[in-house]
Amino acid sequence: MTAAPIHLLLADDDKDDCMFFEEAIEELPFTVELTTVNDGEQLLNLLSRKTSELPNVLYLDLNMPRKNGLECLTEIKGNDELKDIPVIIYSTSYDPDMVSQLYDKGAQYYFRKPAEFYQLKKVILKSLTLSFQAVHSQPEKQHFIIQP
Amino acid sequence: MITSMSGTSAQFLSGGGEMGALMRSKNWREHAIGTVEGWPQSLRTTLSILLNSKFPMFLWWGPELTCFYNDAYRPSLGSNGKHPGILGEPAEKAWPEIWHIIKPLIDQVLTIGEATWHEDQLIPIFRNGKIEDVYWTFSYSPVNDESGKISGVLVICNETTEKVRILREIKEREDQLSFTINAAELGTWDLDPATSSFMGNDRLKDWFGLPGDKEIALPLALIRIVKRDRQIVRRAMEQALQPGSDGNYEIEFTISNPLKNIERRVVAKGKALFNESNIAVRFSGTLQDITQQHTAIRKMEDSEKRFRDTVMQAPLGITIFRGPQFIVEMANETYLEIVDKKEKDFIGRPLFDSLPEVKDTVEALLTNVLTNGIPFKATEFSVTLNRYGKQELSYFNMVYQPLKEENGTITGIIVVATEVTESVKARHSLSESEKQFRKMVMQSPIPMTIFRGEDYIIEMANSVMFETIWRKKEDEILGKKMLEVFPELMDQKYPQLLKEVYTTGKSHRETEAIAFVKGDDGLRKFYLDFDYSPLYETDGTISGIIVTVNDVTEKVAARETIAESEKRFRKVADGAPVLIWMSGTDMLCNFFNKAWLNFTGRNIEMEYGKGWRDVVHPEDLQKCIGAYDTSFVKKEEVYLEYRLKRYDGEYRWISEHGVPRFSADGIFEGYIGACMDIHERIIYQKKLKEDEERLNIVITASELGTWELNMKTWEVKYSYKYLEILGYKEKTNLTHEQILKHLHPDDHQIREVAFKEALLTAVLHYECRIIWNDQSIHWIESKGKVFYDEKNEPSLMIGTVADITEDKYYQQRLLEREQKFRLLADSMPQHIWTADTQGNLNYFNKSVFDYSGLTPEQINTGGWLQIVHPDDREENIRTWTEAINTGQDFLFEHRFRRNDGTYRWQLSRAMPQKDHSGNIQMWVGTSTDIQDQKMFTSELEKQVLERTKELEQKNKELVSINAELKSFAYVSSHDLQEPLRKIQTFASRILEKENQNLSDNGKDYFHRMQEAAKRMQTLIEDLLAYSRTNTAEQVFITVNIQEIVNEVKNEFREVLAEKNAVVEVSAMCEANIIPFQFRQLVHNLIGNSLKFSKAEIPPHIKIKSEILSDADSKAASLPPGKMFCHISFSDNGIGFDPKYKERIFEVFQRLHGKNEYKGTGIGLAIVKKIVENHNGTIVATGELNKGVTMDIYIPALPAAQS
Repeated sequence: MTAAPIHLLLADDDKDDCMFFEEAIEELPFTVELTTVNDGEQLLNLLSRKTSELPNVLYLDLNMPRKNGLECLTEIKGNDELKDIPVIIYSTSYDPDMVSQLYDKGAQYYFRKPAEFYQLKKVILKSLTLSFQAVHSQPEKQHFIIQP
Repeated sequence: MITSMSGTSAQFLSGGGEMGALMRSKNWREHAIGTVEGWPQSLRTTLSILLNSKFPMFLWWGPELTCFYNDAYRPSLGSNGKHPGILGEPAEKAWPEIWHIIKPLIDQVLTIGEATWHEDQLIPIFRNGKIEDVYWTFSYSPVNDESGKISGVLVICNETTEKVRILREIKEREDQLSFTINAAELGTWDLDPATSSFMGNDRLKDWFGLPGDKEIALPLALIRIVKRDRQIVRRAMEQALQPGSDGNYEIEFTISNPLKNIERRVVAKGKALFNESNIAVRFSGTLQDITQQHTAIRKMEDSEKRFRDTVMQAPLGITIFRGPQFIVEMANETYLEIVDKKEKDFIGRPLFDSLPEVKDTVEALLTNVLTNGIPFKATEFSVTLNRYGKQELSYFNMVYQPLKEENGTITGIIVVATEVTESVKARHSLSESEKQFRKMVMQSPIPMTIFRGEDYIIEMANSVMFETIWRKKEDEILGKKMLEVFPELMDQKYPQLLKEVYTTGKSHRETEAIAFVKGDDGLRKFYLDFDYSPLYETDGTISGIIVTVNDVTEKVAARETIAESEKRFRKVADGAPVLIWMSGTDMLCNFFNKAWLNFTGRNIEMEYGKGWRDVVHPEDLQKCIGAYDTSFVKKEEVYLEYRLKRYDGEYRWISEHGVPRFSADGIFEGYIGACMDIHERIIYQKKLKEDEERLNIVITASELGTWELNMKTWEVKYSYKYLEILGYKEKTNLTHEQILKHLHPDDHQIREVAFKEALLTAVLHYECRIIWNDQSIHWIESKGKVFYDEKNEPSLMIGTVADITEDKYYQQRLLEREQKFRLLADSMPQHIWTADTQGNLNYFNKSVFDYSGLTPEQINTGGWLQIVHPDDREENIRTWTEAINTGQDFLFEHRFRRNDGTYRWQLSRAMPQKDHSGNIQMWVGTSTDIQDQKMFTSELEKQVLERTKELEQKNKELVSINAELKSFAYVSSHDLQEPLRKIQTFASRILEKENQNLSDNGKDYFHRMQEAAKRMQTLIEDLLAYSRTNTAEQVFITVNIQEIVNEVKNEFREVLAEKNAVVEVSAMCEANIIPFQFRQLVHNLIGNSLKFSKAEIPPHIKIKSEILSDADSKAASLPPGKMFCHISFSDNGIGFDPKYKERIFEVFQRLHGKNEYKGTGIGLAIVKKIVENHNGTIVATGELNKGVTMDIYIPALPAAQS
């Protein structure tokens, strides 16, 4: 199988978390190309640059300076060219209201940043697998949150 | 004989009453006209008419205009005047005082020959010792002598002074009437029965709430009568208007004026006036307000009872049959007498059971009435009755009248019967006596004879026959054949006529037939009126002829001689201005003069015979014919008043005087009638009569005493009521002076002043006290009007008196009460004021004047509004006007200016005072000083305002605190957790990557670090969840709890499997809950049960729910009146000491060490919070090692509430 590398885009301002994410995907059983941006503006600038290819999945942190995750999600889903990018939200906190709002805005999956590294690896793999299976569609709401 | 007639020189002066006698006895030699013998025939004829006329007539004759007049004229000359001096005198000498008036009239007639006509002319003449104003209607007409020259003037006149006086009196009566009506405060009405419209005075219209139109349709007034009275009023009116009734109308009823919402009890009195044909032409009367009396006395009239009483006592036999069996429902005494039955044997039984003998005669008739509803009437109806012990043929005048129900069905018959048996029988015996009468006639002075058999044997004849016609002795004739005795008749027509009568049975009658009869003194010519009538045997065969003869020979001779003078008479009559007619003995009219024909506008052919009947008013015709029918028999004079149609179609009242005419030898020739147009007089008399009647009604109704005071003689006349008011119970004659003695000594002045004023204004009005003979004091009100004579001097005062003692008494009481009220009002510190129904303030108590410092005059002139603060005035007027218009209470706050110029707040309140029927009488208002309260209130308002502001500020702060709290929650949820998470992650990285480099001890430390961080993370999350139960939006949704339990079970499935736990869920109910909170609740409780399970025993959790009964709610000490849903969670875990059953719900309270059981001590606090958010309660029960039961009670669904 000569699979093209999977292109992931990560938007997170937290350097530690970015490092954890990179280390986690390195240990995944397939090749992944990762681009990282550190805030919402960078993210949207990147995406609106037509030259670059769109990522297969966007991992989006909620708590970011300048433009937070919700705003970014809203803009992406409101843009005809970007709206098909599967967006998986990952965040430290869990606020049921916010989660519900994210689902409504069109996010594909949500998971909390786990405390243990093995859990992180597990949840990234699970989320990628689910996202690829479902492609562009949203799961039912009760399956929106992915547990590690 | 003609000669004997002219031989009596003054035959034409015969009769003629006093004037005839005077003319006969007068010594005419001394007068220019000379002796009677020399008077021309035309003068004689004219005088003959004049003397025989009952109309006043006067004749001037000859060049000197000699005066003649008749008895009828005589009263016009009065006593102590011209009569009898002017008889035979020349006109100029007789009438010097009016010669200038009448001379031209006489000349006009004499020269031009035209009659003149004057109506109601004032011609003062000298009579009764003075010059009197006399009114005349008169005509001057020429009288021609034999040569056709005008030689006299006939004056036919009628004194109309009376008519003119009546006209004046009518005017006065009308004044008096309207004065009395006003004085008595009566309503008056005048109904035209033909159109059912009526006129009423303003007061009546006001009472009925009717428009001011002149004529008002009766139904408009009837609907104002309250429903319960309407029918009886209508009936009373119909009764009064019924032909044949006495026309009297009196009824009490209640009227309701919808405009003013006033009910009034009134008594109506009236009278219907009928014309000659018994048709009501006028119906008028009065209405008196008896509302006051009525409230005290309410008469109930049982009309049914009245009817029965009337019927039972009527002198007619009356009975009522019901149904086809003719069951006798009632029969009055008269009827029972007729049929000779006892009431108990007759009433209630079928008619023919009691009277079988009448069945054949009357059953068919009764049945017919019952089925067809057509009344049956019969006169002298014969029926055989068994009564008083014998069978008797009886005769009755009777009526069978059907009795109809309201729906028109006939259910019975009322029979009214008058027995006429006696009179019928009497008449039958009368025909018997007629035979006897025939015999008597035979002895009469009229010649009569009876021929018997075909040979005309002379059976009998009376003596007159023998003496005047036959002039033979009885024995020469009786028993002999008629033609043998009078052979000369053989050649005349009589044998043939007798034969015809004998064979045909038809009578023969002839008048003035010429017969030659040979008596003992020879052959004589007779003019005979005769009658041949057949005589019948009882078997109907003719056995003879009765002959009646009347010798009219002399009459015929005389008539021929009279014909000439008759002709002349007719000529004179033709010239007379009076309507004259003549009739013959046959009652047919054969003459009408020109005046008549001019009046009726018809020609003589139309009037001849009975033609004149066409122009007599149909209602009067029968009267006229009847009068002459009688008079022709008795030959008496006739006076008649009737209506005659004038050429222009108007029926005019005519006075007719009919006189029998006799020929010179005394033979009745018929009648001559003379007629005058008296239309106006009759009309005025009628009106006067009506007015008088109305006045009487008014006076009776009004309870007024009436009086008349002659202001010249001080004679006084008064009504009985007047006496009653003065305290007399019986009729007493009092002089003016005696009456004045009743006047209260202190009130003489009042009366004198009133009389003085009355002399100036013609109107008298005063109230005063009188003292009765029993020394009691009474108040009267006297009203009057002064009437003036021709010289404009007061001659008469007419007036009324009313007893107003009661009114005065009430007025006095009212005045006293009012004084009391004012005293009370003046002593009150509040302002008190009153207003009339229009809203005009008419009283202020002393407090108002004291407060404002204004005098009553200042408030009167400047108005009360000057006290009100200028800024409050507009609204004040608006509110006050609204209260007046709607009748709602007036309530208003406004400022009044005090005497020191400052304004103080007042609360004014006014309420309408209503009478018992709810009509506003006045307004009573108060104004209370509320300055201090007002100030206090505004201070209070200010403080409330400040507090509100503070509260708002606090609220704002609270909102911002909440916002901060939210951001704190966010910070704790995100920013606090992040470093914690990183500690854990790095620790896990070290353990993974540097595992081989770490000592076992180091590894253990890292594990402990991770555990600590993890515990802190749980703590933060629990705290967040707890705070979220406070702040999160609470949306209640009806959910089956089973669903939530299943979801939570699903969340725990791994743990459940691991612990081998059982969750037993029985049927769950629906409840109104906040789903995510309730899920949290279930999660925490199941979580606890799993956590605090006994190590060796698999956890067993039971969850149940039910709707609680009242008793169970009470046992759980829940608030009454509400239905609750009870959900219980019980487990078989470690339980707890009951003393901690409250504490376990507090935050951070733990019953176990951290190392025994993990937990933050927040879980049950959250559970309690959530239950409270659901308006419920939670109770924990348990013992150590015996498990725990959590009982949750939340309100049940509304559907379950009932």
